[in-house]
Amino acid sequence: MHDFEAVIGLEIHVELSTASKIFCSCPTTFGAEVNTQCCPVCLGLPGTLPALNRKALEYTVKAGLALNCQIARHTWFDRKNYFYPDLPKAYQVSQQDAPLCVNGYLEIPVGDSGTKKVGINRVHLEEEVGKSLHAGETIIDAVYSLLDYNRAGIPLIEIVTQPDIRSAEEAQTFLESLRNILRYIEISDCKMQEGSLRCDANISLRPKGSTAFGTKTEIKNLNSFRAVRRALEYEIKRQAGLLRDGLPVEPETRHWDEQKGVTVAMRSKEQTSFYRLFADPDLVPIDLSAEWIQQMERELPELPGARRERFIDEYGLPEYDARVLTAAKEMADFFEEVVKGYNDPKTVSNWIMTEILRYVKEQGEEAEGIPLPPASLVELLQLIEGGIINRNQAKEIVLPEMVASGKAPRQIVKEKGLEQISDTSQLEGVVASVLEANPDVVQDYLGGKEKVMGFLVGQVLKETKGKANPRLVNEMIREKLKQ
Amino acid sequence: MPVTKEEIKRLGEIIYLDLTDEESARFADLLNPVLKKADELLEGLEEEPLRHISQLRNRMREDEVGIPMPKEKVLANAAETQDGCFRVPRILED
Ligand SMILES: [Zn+2]
Repeated sequence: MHDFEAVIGLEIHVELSTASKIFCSCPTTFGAEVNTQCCPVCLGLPGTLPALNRKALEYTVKAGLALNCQIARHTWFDRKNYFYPDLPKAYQVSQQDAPLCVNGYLEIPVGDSGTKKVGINRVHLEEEVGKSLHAGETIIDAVYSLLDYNRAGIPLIEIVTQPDIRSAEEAQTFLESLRNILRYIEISDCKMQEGSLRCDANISLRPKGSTAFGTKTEIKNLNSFRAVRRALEYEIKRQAGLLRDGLPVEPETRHWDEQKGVTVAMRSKEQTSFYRLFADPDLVPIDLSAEWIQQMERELPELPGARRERFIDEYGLPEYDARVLTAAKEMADFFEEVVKGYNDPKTVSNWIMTEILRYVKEQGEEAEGIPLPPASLVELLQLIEGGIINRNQAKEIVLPEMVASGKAPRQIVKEKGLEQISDTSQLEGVVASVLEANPDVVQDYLGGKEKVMGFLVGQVLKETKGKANPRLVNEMIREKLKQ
Repeated sequence: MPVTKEEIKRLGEIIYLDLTDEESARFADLLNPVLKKADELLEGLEEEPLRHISQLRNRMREDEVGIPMPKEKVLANAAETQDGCFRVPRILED
C-alpha cells in the first residue's frame, strides 16, 4: 500500500478596496440595495468607454511586490468571452496573457519556528462579476436566476500559487498569511464571509517520493478558512481511497458541501470553456517605468516578516511572541500603541497574547480587530502597577466589563468599589484578628515554615473581600511576627 | 490553415448557434478561401501582431466615486425583472 503525498495549489480572488469600480466611477459599497451601483460602463451598454482606475493598478502592483513578484513593464487587458449572465457584457476583462505580476513567493510559518516558501505563479487584475441569486430552494431546483450587478466591475485580483502546498493545514496557514499581508498593505479587507476573499483549490495525490503529478480535482465553494481545510482533508481521504482501490481520480470540478462535509462532482464545464481571448480594444495598453515600480515599493508599509524581526530587536520579545503579535496588523498596531503608554513590552505582550487574544478569538476568524482602545489597556496596567487593583480583579472583573461596556477601567473600578485597601491603618485590625484566630499557623511560621504566609495573607484578603493589597498585607504580617 | 466542418459546428455550439451538418459544411467552404488569403498575407511577416491600433498608453482615471444610474434605468431594458434584479433562466443546465 502506498503512502500518499498531497499536491495542492490555490487560486485566490481578492476584491480590492478602491472607492470606485475598476473601469467606471460606480461606488463599491458592500450590501447596498440591489442594482443601485451600476452605470452604462459596468453594464456594458453600447457607446461607453471604460478607463482604468489608477488605484486598482497601484494596489495590484503593491500586492505583487509584497509577494516578491516580478512586475511586468508592459501589459494589457484581454476580453474573456463567455455566455454566463454574471457579467452583462458577455465577457470579463482580465489579464490572461499579460499578468501584471509573476514568479513570486510567500513565506509561511510551519511547525514551531520553521518557514516555507510557497511559490506565486501570477497575480493579475480583472473585474469582479455580478452576484446571482437563485429563485428556488436550491441551486439545483431553481427555475430562475436573479442578477444583481452591484458587484460587477469591482477590481479583483487573482492570485495563483504554484502547487507547493502539501497539506490541508498548510493551505489554511498560507491563506491566513496571505490575508495578513494583503491587510498590512491595505489593499483589501479580505473578508471571506462577504466574499471579498475567495479561494478555489486544486489537489492531487501522488506516492510519497514521486515527482510526477497525479490527476487533480478542483474544489469550489470554499467560504471560510475552516471550509478550505475541511474540504481538502476530505478530498485527500477520498482520492487516497480511490487510488488504494486501484480506481482512477476523475479530473473534475467538485463543490464543497459545508453541511454534509463532503465534496460533490459538478457538471463538467469543459464544453464551454473556450474563451476566445483577445485584447480589449477599448482599454489602452499600460507601460510601467522602473521608477514608478520603485515608487510603489517605497510606499509599501513594513511587512509582517520585517515587523516580527523588529519586535524581537526593538522590544526584546521572544520569537514566539513576535510571531503571534505580528500575525494580524491590528494586533501589532495595538501592541505598539500600548507600549507607548506602558513601557514594559513583555508584560504588554503577555496581556495581549492571553487575555486580549481570547476576546479576539471569540469573534471568530473574521475578527474585526481588538475590542478596546490601546489607551484602556494602558490605564488598566497602570491601575495594577499602582496597587489600585490586583491582577486577578483586572482579568476577572475589569477587563470583561471594559470589553462589554466600553467604559474606562478607572470608572469600572470606582463603580464596582474595587479599589484595593492600601492604607495600613484600615488593615491593622484585620491582620491582628487573623493572627489571633490562627495561633497554630503562626507557630508554624515562626518555626520556619515560610509557606504558611500564603494562607495568612489569604485570610486577610477573605476578610476584606479581596480588596486588601496582598503585597502590603504580606509586609504587615512579616513585620508583626518579627516583634 | 483550413477549417473543418466539425470545427465550425463546435464554434457554433460555443456561440449558441445550432448549425446543421450542411450549414457547417457550407460555412467552412465559404470561410476557407478567406483564411487562405489571410495566411498568404501573414506569410513571411516578422512583426509582432498589433493588439491595439491606438498609440495611446496609460489612459487612466482617478479613484473617484460618481453618481450611478437610477435603478429604474438600470432595469429598463431587462426582459424580465424580479425583486429589483434581472431575471434570467436558471444558470445551471440539465
Ligand atoms: Zn459603473
